[in-house]
Amino acid sequence: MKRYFLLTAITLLGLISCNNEGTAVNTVASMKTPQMENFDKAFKSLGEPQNRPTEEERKRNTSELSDRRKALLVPASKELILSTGITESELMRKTGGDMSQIIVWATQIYMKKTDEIRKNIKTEN
Amino acid sequence: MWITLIYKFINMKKLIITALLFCGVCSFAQSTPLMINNYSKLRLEGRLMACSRINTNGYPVAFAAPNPPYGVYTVPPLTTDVEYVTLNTSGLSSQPILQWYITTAGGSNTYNYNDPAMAGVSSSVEWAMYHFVTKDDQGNGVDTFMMGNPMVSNMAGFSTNFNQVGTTAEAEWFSISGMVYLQVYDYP
Repeated sequence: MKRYFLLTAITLLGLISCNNEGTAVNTVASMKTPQMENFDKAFKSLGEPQNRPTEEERKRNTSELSDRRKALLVPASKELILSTGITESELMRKTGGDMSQIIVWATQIYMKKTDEIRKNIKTEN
Repeated sequence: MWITLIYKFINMKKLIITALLFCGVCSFAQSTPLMINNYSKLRLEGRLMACSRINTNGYPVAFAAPNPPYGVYTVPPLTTDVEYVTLNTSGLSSQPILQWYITTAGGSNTYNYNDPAMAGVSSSVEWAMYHFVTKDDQGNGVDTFMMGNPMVSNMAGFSTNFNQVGTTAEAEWFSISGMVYLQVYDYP
C-alpha cells in the first residue's frame, strides 16, 4: 500500500513538472510587450502578398532590403524605441531619421528584451 | 636556426588561424549578427555556412555543427528570434551552435564556439548560406532552398539566392545596414 502511494506521488510530481515546462515555453511569447509584438508582426508582414518583393526588387544585385519594404518596418521600430523612454527628438538626433538605423536600433532593443525574458524564465524554474 | 624556427611556427594550425584573424582585420571584413525567423509550419534542416568574401576559396569556411538535440542544423517550425551575434558567441543563442567545422588552406578542424581560435574565424567571415530542406510534421522533405548572399557564398563555391519560392514555403535572405535576416513564410 505504502509503495503504491509513493509511486503515485512520484508520477504526479513528474506530471506536474512536465506541465510547468510547457507553460514556461509559452510565456516567452506571452511576456513580450505590445511594442515587441508589433515589431515582430511588422517583420512577419514582409511575407504578406502585397509586401513580397516585386519583380524589380528581385532583380537587384544587393542583399539590402528595398526602401519600400524598410518603410513597412519603421513605425513598429519607432514605437519600440520610444517605449524604452527615449524621446522623439532624441530618436531623430541619433538616427537622423535614417530608416536602416532606426530598424537596427529597434532590433537590438528587441533582442535584449527577448534575452531578458528568456533569462527570467530560466531563473523562475 | 632562424628559418627552422619560422618553419616550425608555420606548421602550427592555430598559428594559421591567427594569421587569418590578421587577414580579417586588414581586409575590413566584419562579422554582423544573423537573425532567423521561421514563420512557417515547416522544420528547416540543413547547412548553415559563413565564409570570407575576399580570401581564395572563401577560407576560412565555417559550417555549423548540429544544434542539440538535432542530427543536422535545424530551425524548428514557428520558431523566431533565433539570433547569432557572432560565430564565437553562437552557443548562447536560443538554438545553440556549440561547434563549428572550419576549413582553411591548412586543412579542416572542429572547434568549440568559444575556442580562442573562433574569434579569428569570426572576424574574417560573413554569413553566407543556409542550404536547407523544409520538412513537414511527418518528417517528409518538401522543398530544397539555397538561401544566402551569392556575392559571399560563391567564394566557397556555393550559388545561393536572396529569394526563393517553393511549393509550400517562401524564403528570403536580406540585410539591413549589415544585419542579416533569413525569413521563411508559409506559401501561398
